Amino acid sequence: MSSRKKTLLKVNLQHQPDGVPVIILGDSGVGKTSLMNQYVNKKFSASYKATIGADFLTKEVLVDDRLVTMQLWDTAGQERFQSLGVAFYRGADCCVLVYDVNNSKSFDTLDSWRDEFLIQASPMDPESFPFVVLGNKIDVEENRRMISSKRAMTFCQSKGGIPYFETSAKEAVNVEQAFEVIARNALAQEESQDFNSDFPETIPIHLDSERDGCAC
Amino acid sequence: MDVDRLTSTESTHARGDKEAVEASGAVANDVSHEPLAASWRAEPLSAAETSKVVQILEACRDHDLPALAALATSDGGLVEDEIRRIAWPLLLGCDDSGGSTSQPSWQTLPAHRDEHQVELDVNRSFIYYPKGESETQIDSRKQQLSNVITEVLRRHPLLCYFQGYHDIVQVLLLVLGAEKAVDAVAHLSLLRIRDFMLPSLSAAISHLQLLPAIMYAADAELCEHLSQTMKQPFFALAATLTMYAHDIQEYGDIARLFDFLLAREAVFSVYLFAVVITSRKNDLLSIPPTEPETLHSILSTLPRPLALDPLLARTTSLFAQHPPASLPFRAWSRISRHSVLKTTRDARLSLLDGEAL
Repeated sequence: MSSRKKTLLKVNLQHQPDGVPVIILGDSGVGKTSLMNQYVNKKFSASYKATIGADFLTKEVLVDDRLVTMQLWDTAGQERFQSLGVAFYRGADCCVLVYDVNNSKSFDTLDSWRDEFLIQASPMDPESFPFVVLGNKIDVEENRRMISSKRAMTFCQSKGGIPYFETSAKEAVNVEQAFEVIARNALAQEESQDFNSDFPETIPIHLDSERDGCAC
Repeated sequence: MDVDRLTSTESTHARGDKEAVEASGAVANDVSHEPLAASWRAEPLSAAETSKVVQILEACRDHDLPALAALATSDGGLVEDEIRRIAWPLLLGCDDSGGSTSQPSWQTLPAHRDEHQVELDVNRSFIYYPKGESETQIDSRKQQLSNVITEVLRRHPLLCYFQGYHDIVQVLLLVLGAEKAVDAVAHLSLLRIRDFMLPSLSAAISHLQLLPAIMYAADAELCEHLSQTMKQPFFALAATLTMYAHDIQEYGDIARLFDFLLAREAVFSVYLFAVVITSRKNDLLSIPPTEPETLHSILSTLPRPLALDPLLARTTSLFAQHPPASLPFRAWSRISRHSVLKTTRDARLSLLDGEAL
């Protein structure tokens, strides 16, 4: 495996093989903790406490016959905790943006969550960094819905084709499917970075030219 | 004879409460106005506890705060909610104001910018306790929690709400009841957790920066093992920000821990976290330092069950052995003199002092 050292929590560590960090962002109360617990523990509770700082869970998944450990960072939604972001965002291989389909403000802020992530995590290639958008709480009755599928998909399309899922953490709708894509994209990102660092794009030709110079 | 005096003090106190409630025009049969009361503790007080209660009440009567703090800190703390209702306001310095009756009703004050976040968090409150109450009762408590938080924020608009504040206020509300909680929460907010209620999180994070220094003093070997994780000790954020109310699931434990924390200067909260870490030394040493995520994950949850009394005793002795000014890395001198870490050491401040800081 790669010998690349990974920065997470601003700490250099020998990266565990196939340990894939994923961060979950979005406004307070959209269901980040519920989604994560539905995915990891197959459970839903109407009474999760508000997340403070960030919580951490892992889940082992098979992606194309490879065992991958997803390291899921669940974050606090309140804006004041964003200043911790850099510690948790950096090193992430996929960023999951969550909003509540019944709350238009939580949809409107997706863009600023995305921007904030890109600024603080500063991935090597921001254009191709994998995001996944989840529109949660689709179990709530239809007449309370504020954001149509079409509107959400248009947004995702405009941001370079971000995969979009409509989920219910409460009724376990689409959660497994969404995280399968999250795992797959995170792993691809992890591998592309390994590739980049193992085979640097810039070939040090100046050495050759220097030698050429000497040969005259 | 002592017990007689205790009984008479309590009944006087209870009568005073009732009068206050009736005088303020509150709905007397609304359960949410009532504190959780003594009901959580079914067994009667032991002889030793009864004599401790008498000492506590004497310290309260004489406004002997050093004696009260010593009693609150020792094993078992302030014993019972009945006693806490008398002692906590004293420990918080609530006796200084008095003029609250002349204030306008908080409902008429301008809304605070964080009220929406308060609502979101209040909806997710009372998760671990009280146990066995109906949904209606819990809803009523949530409404009361929302009222207390909103009143304090509207009366002190400079304060910023943070997620986790609602965990702290919950405890004060359950122990003191709605009537007494408002003043206590205001004092706590301005004088003890003011750093957490500033516009940014940076003062709260500066508390955490003491943790590596305390750990180094307490156990250099373990500190070395955790050094990667300790560079950004955010695993301690939820606990220290909420006076451990976010994490502790037992009502009796959190009430007892508040006895200790309210009786001591604010930095004890960080010392306690260091003691909790050292109490899990073997578990932590078994995880290689190259796995900071795993270490972070262990460190960010408190052990259960939590043996509070021994942990608190060790906290007291760790503080005595390595007081803040003696900590390595000049850690203490980096703390702002306006920080509650420093202002809660000195003479007791009033609410106005808190506003000014």
